[in-house]
Amino acid sequence: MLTPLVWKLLGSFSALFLMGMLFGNIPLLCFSLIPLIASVFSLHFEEPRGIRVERGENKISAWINETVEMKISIEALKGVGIITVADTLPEHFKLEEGNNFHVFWKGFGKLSKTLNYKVKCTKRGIYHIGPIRVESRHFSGLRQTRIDEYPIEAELVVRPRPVGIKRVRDPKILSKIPMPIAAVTKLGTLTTDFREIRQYRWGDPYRQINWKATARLASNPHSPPLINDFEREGKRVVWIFLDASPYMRMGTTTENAFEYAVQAVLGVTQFYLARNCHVALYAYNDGGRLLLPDCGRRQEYKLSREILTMEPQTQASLEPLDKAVKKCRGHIKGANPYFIIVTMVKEENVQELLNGVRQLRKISKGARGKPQILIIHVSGYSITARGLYESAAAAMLEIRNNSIIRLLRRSGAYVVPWNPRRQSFSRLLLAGLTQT
Amino acid sequence: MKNKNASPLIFLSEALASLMVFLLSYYNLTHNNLYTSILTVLEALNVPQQLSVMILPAILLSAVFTLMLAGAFSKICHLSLILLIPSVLWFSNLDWLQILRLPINLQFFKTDLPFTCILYSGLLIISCETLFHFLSQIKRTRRELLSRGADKEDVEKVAIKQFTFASTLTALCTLTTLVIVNAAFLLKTTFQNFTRQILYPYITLGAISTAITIICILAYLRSQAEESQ
Repeated sequence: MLTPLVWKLLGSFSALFLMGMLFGNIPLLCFSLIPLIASVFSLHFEEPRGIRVERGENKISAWINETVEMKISIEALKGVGIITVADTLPEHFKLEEGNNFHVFWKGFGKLSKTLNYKVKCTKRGIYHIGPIRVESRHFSGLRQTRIDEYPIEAELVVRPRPVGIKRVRDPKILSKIPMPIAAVTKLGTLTTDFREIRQYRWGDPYRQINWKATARLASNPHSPPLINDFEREGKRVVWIFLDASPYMRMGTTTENAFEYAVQAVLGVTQFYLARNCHVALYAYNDGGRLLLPDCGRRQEYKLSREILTMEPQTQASLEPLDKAVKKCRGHIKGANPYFIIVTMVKEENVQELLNGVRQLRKISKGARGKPQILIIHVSGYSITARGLYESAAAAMLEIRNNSIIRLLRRSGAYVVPWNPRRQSFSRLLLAGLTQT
Repeated sequence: MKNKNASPLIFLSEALASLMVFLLSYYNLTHNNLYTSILTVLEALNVPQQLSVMILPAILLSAVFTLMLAGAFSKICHLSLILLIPSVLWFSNLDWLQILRLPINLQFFKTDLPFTCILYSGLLIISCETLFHFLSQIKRTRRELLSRGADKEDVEKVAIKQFTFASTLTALCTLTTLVIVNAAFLLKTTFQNFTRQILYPYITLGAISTAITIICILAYLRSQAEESQ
């Protein structure tokens, strides 16, 4: 379709031609030929057509803050003019190198180009890159610009880097990350996976005694011998409750309490799944997204996939922890799983947490042993703090939280406060080690 | 490839072309009877002759430079055309001023310069006007692309190629017009033999050619509209 610019040229022609006719003026008639011929010649050359766009082989999965290279090849066969190519990038993607918007001149020959640019994925999620928008412009703007959208989308899964939690294999220290021993594990048969060296207990088979270690480490002749402990096959269950309340949004869109909570959940999940535990996840205040207990790589994949699409809610809490626990009651009852609650402890939600802990204790009552509850408290104040004064204010707010944390500890939960700015998660859990 | 900046190149071309067409039209004006009449009027107003010779080009040149600084090169072309119009009108076959019995007629715009000189000057001015039309589009596109975040290097490359293409096309248009005009003059006698046989040849042929041109343009626009649908 033609643009109003054509009328400008044709208007010049008409004015000169009519004036020439009116006065019988040969020069004016000759002058009128130029805008007419110019418009005819310009319109003869069409805007670029026959465009083919292809997306190169791009990465399908990346870690947070990893740079990913994108490739697009474009080919134009006909026409003369300008071609612009724009690849639509999702939110949270930062352009690191190159440009996702390119301009080319298509002359009389065939145009064949490859575009490269690099992006940094700043937030976890499943993203769709594209569609590719191609504009074909007439060189003088006499024809309307053609805008084509090529629905060649690329899916990119951006995964958060899980914090690598390791178990310390020193017999003299005790980690605060417990293995859920109280579950049905004891009935399981021994595997060949080495777990730790520990002191002999009544009932342990003699063939498990590590004589060399006993000779080297025994401090006095009356100390019990040390034995090699191996992992057992069995259904040890870990229940993770992830808080998706609006206050978990504290921070920026890419760096907030919830993002760190997700990292912690992934780290803990990988740790337990690697040890044949059954892991379940429940995101409370998020419409009740539940992943039933399962083990192995499939569960790891399902969990990481589920967690990628989780976002903290914008509305006030509708489903407190105790309600969430009640919902999962049917799956928890009978066993004595290990409970991990990842949240941000505040004055506003302390009652909710206390009720939740109470509910967990109530459900686990029938099982053997005391319920093990770990609350990971992500310090949101320190995430938002910028500068010295704000950091000091954040520290003061955290100190104010100490009384609440004590209250939770008294209720039977083990609370680990985590400042993601200062402490690495794995180190934090190791910091809880105590000498036996 | 060396990174070239299209902006100075386009500005320089526009400035040179507009200055050239202005000087050409001023030269045409100085050979026109109108110019002599203006000088006579100034003399009658007791303006010294040396000053009156300088006053007109000074005013015009200051206007040209002001327009140049404002980037309104197209307006310089319009000004040049206005300066040329009196000389062009002198070659008119129909003097409406005389027909309407007005106190002046087109003979007042008599010029010393030959017909071809006026014709080529006019063609050059209109060619420049057409070129400026294309260049304004290039500048607009360049600005838009840069504001949308395209790489400056890419945009400059495109602008230079677009400028080359537009300049070549304008030159081609001028050349085609010159060929048509010269061919028409060469075939003048043949046409005259043909037109002698027609009653009121000017009105008849004029009406027919106007109608054909309008029909052609409308048909073309309609076909374009249908194609786009």
